[in-house]
Amino acid sequence: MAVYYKFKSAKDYDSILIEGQFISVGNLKERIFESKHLGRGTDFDLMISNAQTNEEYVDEAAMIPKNTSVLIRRVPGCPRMPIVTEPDEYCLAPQF
Amino acid sequence: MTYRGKTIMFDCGIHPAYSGMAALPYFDEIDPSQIDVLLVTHFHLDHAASLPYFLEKTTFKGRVFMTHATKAIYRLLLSDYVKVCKVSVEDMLYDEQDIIRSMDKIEVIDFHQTLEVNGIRFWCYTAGHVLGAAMFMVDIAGVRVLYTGDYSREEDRHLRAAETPQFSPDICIIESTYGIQTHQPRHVREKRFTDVIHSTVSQGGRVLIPAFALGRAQELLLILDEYWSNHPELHNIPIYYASPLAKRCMAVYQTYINSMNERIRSQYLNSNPFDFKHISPLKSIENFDDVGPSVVMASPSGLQSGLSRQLFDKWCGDKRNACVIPGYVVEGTLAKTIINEPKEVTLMNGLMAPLNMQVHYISFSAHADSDQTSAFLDELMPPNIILVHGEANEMGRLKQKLITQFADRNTKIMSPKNCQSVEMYFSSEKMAKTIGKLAEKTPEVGETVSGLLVKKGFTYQIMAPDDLHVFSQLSTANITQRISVPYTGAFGVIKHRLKQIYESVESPKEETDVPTMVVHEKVTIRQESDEYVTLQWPSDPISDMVSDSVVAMVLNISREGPKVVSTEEVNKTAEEETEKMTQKVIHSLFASLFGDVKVVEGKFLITVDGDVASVDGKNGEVECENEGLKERVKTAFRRIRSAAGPIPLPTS
Repeated sequence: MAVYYKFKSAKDYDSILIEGQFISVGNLKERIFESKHLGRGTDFDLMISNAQTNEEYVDEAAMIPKNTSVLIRRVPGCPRMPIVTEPDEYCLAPQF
Repeated sequence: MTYRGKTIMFDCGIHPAYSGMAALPYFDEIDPSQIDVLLVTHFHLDHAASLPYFLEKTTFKGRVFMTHATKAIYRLLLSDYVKVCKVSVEDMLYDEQDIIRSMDKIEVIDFHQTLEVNGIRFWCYTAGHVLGAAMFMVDIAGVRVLYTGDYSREEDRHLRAAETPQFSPDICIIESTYGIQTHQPRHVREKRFTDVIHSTVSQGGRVLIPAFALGRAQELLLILDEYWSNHPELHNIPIYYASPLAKRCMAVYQTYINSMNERIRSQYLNSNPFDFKHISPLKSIENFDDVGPSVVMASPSGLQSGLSRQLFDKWCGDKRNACVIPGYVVEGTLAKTIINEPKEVTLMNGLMAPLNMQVHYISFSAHADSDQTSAFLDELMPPNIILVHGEANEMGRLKQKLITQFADRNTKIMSPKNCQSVEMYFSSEKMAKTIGKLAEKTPEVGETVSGLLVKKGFTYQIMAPDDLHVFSQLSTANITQRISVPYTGAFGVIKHRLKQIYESVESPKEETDVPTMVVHEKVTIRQESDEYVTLQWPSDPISDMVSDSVVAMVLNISREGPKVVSTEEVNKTAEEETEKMTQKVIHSLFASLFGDVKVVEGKFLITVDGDVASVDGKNGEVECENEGLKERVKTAFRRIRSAAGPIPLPTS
């Protein structure tokens, strides 16, 4: 089970393995930060949008289903709010 | 920058304090495939280091330009950067192969050379700052934009000062690194530098100068070499220029003597000014014997890693040592942190150590300071100024200062944030020049001028069609068409008909072997043989129309002749066909019954043993002297008739 992501200016897609059917937007951002060694607290944020529908995922708690292709845009802005990493497979309700 | 459908990108660097993808510019905010031209001003990491990534790993497909010296030094600098990154950080943006591949795609431009790409004209001026640094002036459809990159208007030991362009641009994109700060005068700065070094080594300490291997380092080496020559007491204290590419860097500098200033060039006639007498190259820390005082210039300038960091870790504990930071320090690097002289620093291995060495910040970084910026803009007088390449607060202060300075002129000054776009409107007059025959006399107001409008890039020219091949690579051609039309009638018929339509139907001037005529002075009709006629005409709207009409008319004549014959046949109805068929059938059946049957005027004459019976084919009336024969023929006819005739439909 994987979600495919691509930076808008890059040429091809990378993939991130997820457990379960969904991954939350916040969690996905975390994983991308890790896998691309972007570091934390550096002053930019990631905007995630669906590659087919161009719909932007604004809500951090929104769930992205598996096998989705997403486009990532690195934008300047405040560092993201640190979130508590949550298990993303079965829980659809937001956790504290 | 986008204007009139053309997109240009200026510079392609990285943020020196970050590493990996976090150091890249915000490439996701632009569409790399739309960029026509990428202009790189100079080789510093914050202007050129993401070029291999941009060329190899994004959808960019435009052209890249930089000056000769920039390209040569870019290669060395980025190879070094990649090696340094590989040691400290796992995630690299690109590798040596990407750099080598990018070298093929980079094109070079010389100072003051104008190039035109896709309607975009650009050229570059000297910018000072470092060897090969350029300011680019771009001209699209008459609107000029000047991008300064990093520049300095002060001449130093080996570089020229920045030039002032001879005409003012519509937009000036200018650096604001030093904001409203002012530099000390050059000799004051140099004296401070040499004094610090002299006193440190006199006490037995070591001096670390973290600097890029190429760039300001050469300036400092020139200063040190000169100072050492003038101070014989220092001759036993070594100066090291530590870089794995020390030799190659110096070779590049020796190649591009011609872009340096007068002083160096005249010195070069006697001896190579970069052949230092008191400075030795140092490849790595293993070759370094750390005995006694010494001066070492090592890279990188931010003290993040590499040789300068190794030496720093070794020497920071001793208070006799000194660190002289000669350039602009970037937020987030160790060099910036130690300027504030903290009590402790973190070493490369993670341990904390006390910072006892002296830290001096003497900037040689050759950027324009506040006075230079004001003077430059004053001379240039651009109506729009955009401030870039600076820290937010400093930039804000500079903006305020410039607003007050240019308050009386209608100058717009903008300082956009990252990813904030600036939109400006320019209206320009569209001008077309007449050249060649059309330009021989000046037309009056209200007079009509007609010709061909030729557009090259954004310039328009009007010329007569005959001049087309003179002033452009296009040329005009003539097409002659010929068509053969099947025609079996008399040539005179065509001529007669044509004379009814057209005024001018003449015989040609030259003698021809076959009957020929010329219609409307353009279309030539010849009767080649009894089968067909040919038409020939030069292709243009009117001649095409004439020939079309002639062809239609010739075909019409051909059709009218056989039309009389064909109408008879057409009139034949299906009924007649059937009737004829029936008669035939009756005739053949009678013949098989009675033998001798003749058809005379629609009646059948049947002869049996000398008796003759006459049957009317249509109504079945039989005339015969012999009653028996008459009966027989009547019955036969009735039966045949019912067999041949249609079966009547049952009426229901």
